[in-house]
Amino acid sequence: MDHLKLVKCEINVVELMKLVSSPSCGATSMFVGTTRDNFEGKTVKKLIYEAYEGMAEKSMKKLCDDIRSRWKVHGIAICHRLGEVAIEEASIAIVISSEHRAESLQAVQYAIDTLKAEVPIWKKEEYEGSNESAWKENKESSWIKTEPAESVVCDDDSDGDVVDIVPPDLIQVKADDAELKRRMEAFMDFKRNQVNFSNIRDFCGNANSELSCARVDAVVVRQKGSKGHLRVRRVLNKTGPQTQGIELWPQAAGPSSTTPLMQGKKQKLEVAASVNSTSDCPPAVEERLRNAELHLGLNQCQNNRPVPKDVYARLKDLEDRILFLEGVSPEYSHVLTKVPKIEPEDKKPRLFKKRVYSVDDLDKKMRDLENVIKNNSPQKSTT
Amino acid sequence: MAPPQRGEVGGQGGQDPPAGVSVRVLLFAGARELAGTAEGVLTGLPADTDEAALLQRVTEAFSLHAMAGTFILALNQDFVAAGDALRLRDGDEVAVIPPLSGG
Repeated sequence: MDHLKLVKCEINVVELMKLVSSPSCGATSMFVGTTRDNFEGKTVKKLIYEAYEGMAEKSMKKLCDDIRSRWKVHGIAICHRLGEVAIEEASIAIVISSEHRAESLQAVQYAIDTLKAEVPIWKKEEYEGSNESAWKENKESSWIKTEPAESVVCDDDSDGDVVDIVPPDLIQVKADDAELKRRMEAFMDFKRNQVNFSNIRDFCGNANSELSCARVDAVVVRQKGSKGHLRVRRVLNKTGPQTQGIELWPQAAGPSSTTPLMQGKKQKLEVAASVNSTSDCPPAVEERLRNAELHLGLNQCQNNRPVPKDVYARLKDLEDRILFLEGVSPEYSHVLTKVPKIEPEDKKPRLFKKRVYSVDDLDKKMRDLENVIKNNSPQKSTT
Repeated sequence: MAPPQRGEVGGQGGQDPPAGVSVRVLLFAGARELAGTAEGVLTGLPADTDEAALLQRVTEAFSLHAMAGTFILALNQDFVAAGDALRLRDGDEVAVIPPLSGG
């Protein structure tokens, strides 16, 4: 049910609400436009509204049909005031009821925006003093801004290379602005969805999928007090170039760098046979050290040298090796974070030598400095 | 004044073709104040015309040069878009629509 009115007296908002209310509706949304007493620093005395009445009613009816094609609403009441309207009084009221609030709220917003752009009604403001008055222009009134701007462009470029009249058969896209906007938005939505879909397929929740070439699996995990919400699992390869022994080794130049893994295995056998007897540390410790050395490619690099007898020397070698590996391939640093911290701790006592100065000491130091400067400056100026 | 190209077009049997079509013109808001009248009649219009030509005729007839380019027309209560071809009949209602400011 549409209730459309152009009235010369005050708008009765309560009456409009009753017009649209219904037992089946849980929401009645209302917009009331009231007259303001100021415009750009000028005091507005009163406002006068004027309408092309026949057309205004027709286009308000069209607006109602438009709303009903977009939202499921029950009743629509639009009342616009004409003639003189005092400050603070309602010039327009739009009331729409619907079963749930979302429809009527959106419909009311749409209704006032469209009404301002399409319904032929005009407002004149009369200002205090100087008998000044002005017809207002809604920013929604589309042809106002575009037409003059276009004509200006044409004037400027009339002697340029802009073609003024394009034959209609050459125009391929004939949609209006709203339709173009809708198409662009639809295209952007489609693209966004496409990207989202492939991102989700590649990066979320299927680390073991054969179809994905992604090397990380990121799952959103909301964490209080943290900016990062992604839990990232890194791929740890069991085979491949990253797991091969690194052939550069500062202490042993070259001879053993061909097939590190095979040599490692041979070495392991030899060590198993020989070292056990020579080393005097417990067998379990010996085995663990040897495994660590083999794993880090230490033994095969020290082909020509015997393994140090001292456990601490071997540990030192292992540490050096770890530091070296870390320097060569930084991606291991997350595994080895504790190693580099040893260095600064060693250096600390050397770097900071604490001395305690008393206030008198400081005063004396400053006096000495002042004297030095005083003595220096005349000397410099004379020389 | 260009004579109508086809006499039969008007469809108002009994009308004298060369006399053209006459329409009612309504003026609102700033246009009404500029023209000094709310309503007028335009005669001798070609039945087949377009938006630009009609706009031109209305501007001249009601001395609306001062606000040329800021208003559009409505024909029988429908907005006329720029570049539209129009078919006029006697008694049609043409309205001068300055920038809207309802609400």
